[in-house]
Amino acid sequence: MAEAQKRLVREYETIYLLKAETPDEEVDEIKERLRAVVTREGGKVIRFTNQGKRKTAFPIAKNPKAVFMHCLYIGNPGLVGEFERNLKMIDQVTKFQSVRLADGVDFEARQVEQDVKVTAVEDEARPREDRSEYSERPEESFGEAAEIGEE
Amino acid sequence: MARPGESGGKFGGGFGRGGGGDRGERGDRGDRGERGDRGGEEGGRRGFGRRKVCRFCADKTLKVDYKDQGQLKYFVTERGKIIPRRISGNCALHQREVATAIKRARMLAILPYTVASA
Repeated sequence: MAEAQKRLVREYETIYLLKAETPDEEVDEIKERLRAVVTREGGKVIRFTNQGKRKTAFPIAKNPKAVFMHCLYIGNPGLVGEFERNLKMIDQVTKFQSVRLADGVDFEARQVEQDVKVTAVEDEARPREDRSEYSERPEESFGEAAEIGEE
Repeated sequence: MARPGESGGKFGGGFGRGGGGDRGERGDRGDRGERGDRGGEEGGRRGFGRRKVCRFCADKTLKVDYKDQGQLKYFVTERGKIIPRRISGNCALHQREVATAIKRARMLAILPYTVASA
């Protein structure tokens, strides 16, 4: 019954947003605090990714920018609740979202990876012509519908 | 004598107006019909476009990822609306995934819920 001894857990990822003015030390502090939470609950952090300070689609806490942090971890279902409860208690965290990625992950087999820090991609000009194919037509038809509605 | 004449005049006028109204209505209907046809033409033109293939089915390695802003932008109008399947060409399965991904991205302020000015 070797298989019964294999500890199967779930893989989750949580993205949390920090206030843009959060200093780097505090970002690391929060990271370590969350890592401790995951470990305490019998989980394992695979890696943290600092996606850097990015522009948000709409202002959050009256700030157009936020620090995006991504955390990949494995653990039991109860872990997510505890993780999110801790996020709520940290004042710097403005938003967070957890998603289940996989079921039945072998706890021992999953290796811990290095923390990654990605430099923020300042909104570089994306090729617009690729989009036009999709974006123009619906706008056109919506315009037409609006015209009929007015009369 | 004056009274019947007046009334008759009114009557006739009434008819006339009624007729005019009728014609007006018909004119309206005609207009509407034309507009409807125009709409139909547009629908037809939309049908002319080549049949699009689901890009996620065409490229199996491609995964729908709610964190990837650049990828999701293809499935959102400039207004921030999700582009329907008949236009994006996605298959049902992947359109569903894309829609979920867009909604997740919105919650994390990666994509906007709306864009105020057009």
